[in-house]
This record gives sequence, structure tokens and C-alpha cells, in this order.
Amino acid sequence: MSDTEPKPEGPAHLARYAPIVDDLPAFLACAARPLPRVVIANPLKTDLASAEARVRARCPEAEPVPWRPGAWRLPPDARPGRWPEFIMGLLHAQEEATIWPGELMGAQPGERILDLCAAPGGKTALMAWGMADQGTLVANDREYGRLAALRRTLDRLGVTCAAVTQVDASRMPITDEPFYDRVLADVPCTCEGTTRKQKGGRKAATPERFRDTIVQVQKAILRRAVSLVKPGGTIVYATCTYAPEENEAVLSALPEGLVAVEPVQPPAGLAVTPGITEWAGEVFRPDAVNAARLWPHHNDTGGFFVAKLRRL
Amino acid sequence: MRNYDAFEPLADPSEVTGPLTRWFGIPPEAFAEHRFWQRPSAKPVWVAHKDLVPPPGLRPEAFGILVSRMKGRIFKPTSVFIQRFGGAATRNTLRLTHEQLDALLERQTLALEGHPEDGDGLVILRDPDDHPIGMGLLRGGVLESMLPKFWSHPGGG
Repeated sequence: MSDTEPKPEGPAHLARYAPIVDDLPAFLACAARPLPRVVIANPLKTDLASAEARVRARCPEAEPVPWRPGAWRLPPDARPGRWPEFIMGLLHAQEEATIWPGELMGAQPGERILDLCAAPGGKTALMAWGMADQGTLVANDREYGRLAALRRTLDRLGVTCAAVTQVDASRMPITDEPFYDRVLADVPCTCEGTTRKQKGGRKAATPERFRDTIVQVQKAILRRAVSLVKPGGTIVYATCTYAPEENEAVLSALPEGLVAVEPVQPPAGLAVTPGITEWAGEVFRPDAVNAARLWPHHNDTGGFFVAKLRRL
Repeated sequence: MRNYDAFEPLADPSEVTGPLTRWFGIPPEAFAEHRFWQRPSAKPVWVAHKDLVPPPGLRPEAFGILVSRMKGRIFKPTSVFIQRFGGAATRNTLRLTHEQLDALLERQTLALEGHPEDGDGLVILRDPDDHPIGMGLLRGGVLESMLPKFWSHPGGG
């Protein structure tokens, strides 16, 4: 970059994604802005009309999320966690970018579903809703400290179909006959898509050495997820980072013939970009194009990556 | 992983449904789709959907939602249980105004003029729209919050 060229506004370390993002300045500028708060109605405890009336009464500026009925955007300074509606579990606060990935699991009533890295439980809740709170939902997290947040989410939302467990996801016990219809691997990552969060987001650059370490964890968890699901079953792989090393490269590390990355159709009004086939000289499996990336500047959300796999 | 006992179905569900019916009028049929569970060596009772089966090779930390930390003579349902199943209650419930609810969340006590059917004891608190929120304890016309203390300063805002 020459001295006369203006430096990009926003988190400069994200400029490494220039080759795969459509509008780098818009991406970086958006990645620095505070995230709108989003609340979503809990269908186990309330209906859409009552939830809408309660949200409007608390926050007249609330606007419906255009692509998802039952979810509303609030200004970044709103504090829905203090509302009685939140305490009663009628509403849940959920990052908008994570709603569709959670719903891509396609959870159905009566199924057996495993969430390998579940805390703090937002996507677990989306699956419990898909199951109409019927069946077996195993919500696991390795970190004991994070289980309290997970349990509070499930308690508050009144989920009765879930058991909470604490094991290392990559060592989740395997049975002779796979037990699960669907498995979510929402793996630990460098969290580069969370720069807009006011609390708990990662704003600084990630040391590449950390990325190398976490990629090994991601590969081990995804490999385990595939072993745990029945043939024909669904695995959703998700991260909150843009990095191809943590996304398409992890999909490509699976042994050939084990899974297919299936095409996904985002809801009308939600913009995503397809997975990529090449990065820094590395070529990925051809069906990685069926994965999807959410960029902050496309939907005014955080960043996310998701792929829906079918075990062959 | 901590070495917990496995969860087992509660041998006699009427230990739980009995007090709920007697005190709050919640009929046993409210749990037709659910089962009660307990660890043999522990007192807390849990309620889970009937199709929730213990996952193979795992010892769960939680199984459905906690009904009560103890069954038997002293039976106080948890607030999260009441939020999910308290809508079926027909007696010993109190509908609060917004102001009363805010005061209880701030751990203040309330002096009440009328009182529910059975006088002193546990009551189910409802919000102004009749949605169950948790438990209170009524003693001599004074209502005390039994809502979780951390609700006064909820996180996750």
C-alpha cells in the first residue's frame, strides 16, 4: 500500500479477506459499527402476536427482521435482557446472523439431535423449537463455566426435551449404531465475525499460531460429528469467522466419500455468498461452494459461515 | 466430567403431581407428555419430555428442567418450572400489577389486602397479562419474592 492510499476504516486485520469480499471498504466500515440487538419470540411460551405487542410496548423503535417472522431488531443500546419478558422466557436475545444457521439443522419433533458445542444455547433453543420440544436434544459443552449460561437459556425458555452434558466434543462417546439424526458442530473459532458485538466480541487480530491450533480442534470435532450421525443424517458445520482456513479447508479435510455438502437456500431477504473453492493456493472440495457466508454489510449482522452436510 | 449418578424415572410420579394438584390445582394430565426423573442419591426432581432418553455413554448434568430441589413435605417448585407448567394452575395464584412485579424483582416485600384461597403459603405469581413468572411466599398478608435473586440484575442484556 503506497503512502498516498488511504488506510481502510475499521478492523484492519480483516483486510486479509479482500480477495473474497465484494466491497472491502463497506465490509470493514460495517465490521466496526455496533451490532443491532435482536430479540426472537419463544414459540414454546408465546404466540407471535402477543410477542410482537410486548416488544412494541418495550421498544417502539423495534423493527421486524425482514426475513424471519417472530424476530425484531432493536437499537444497539437496547437492553432486552432486563425486560420481564426476557426473564419469563417469552423472548430470547439472539444474534441475527446465527438464526438461519440454527434453523438450517431442520430439527423435527421426536428426533435425536446433538449440539456438540452448545453454550450459551441460542442455536440449541432454535433446534428445540424446531422439535416442538419433543424428542431427545443433547446440549453439550466442554467448559464447565459455560454450562451455567447454557442451562439458564434452556431453563428460561422452558425447554424440556434437552439433556445437558459436559465432555470434550472431539471425544464424545461413539456407539456401534449411530444414535443421532442430526448433529450441530458450531465449533470454537477465531470469532472474527464478532467485531460488532459490544460485549464478548473479538475485536483484535488473531495470532496465526492460534488459528493453526484451533483448526486442528475444528477438524477433530467435525470428524467426530460425522461419526455420531446416522447414515443419511444431517451435520451442520458453523463458525463465526470468515477464514477459509477454518471453514472450507476444514470441510475439505474430511475423508472423501464420507459426506456431501448440500446446497442451501437462504430465506428471501437474507443475502449470503457461496463457499469458495480456492484460497492462498489451496484448492477445496468442489461441493464447498454449497456452503454459505454471511457478511456484516450485506444484512447488517455479524459474520458467519455455515455448511449443511449429509452423511453418505 | 463429574461423576454423577445416572438419572432414573421417578418411581411414583404422584409424589410430585400430588402436591401440585392439592396446592395449585394443576391436574396430573398437565404432564401427560412428560416424565419425572431423579438421581437415586439426590433430592432434586426433574421433568422432561417423554421422548428424552439418556444419551449413550454420557452422564447428564441436567435432564429437562428442574421441578423442585426436594420432594415430599417441603415442596417448592422452581420458578422455571412454574413458568412452563404454572399456566394450568387454578388456585393460589396472584396476578401482579407492573409496579408490584418490579418491586418483587427488586426483592421488596408487598403488603396485600386480599389473599388467595388457602391463606398463607406458596403462591404462583402471574404478570399483568396472566403469564406465570415464578413463586412467592405469602405470610400474614405480606408477599415475599421467591424469584431467583439473579433476576434482579439479569445479565445478557
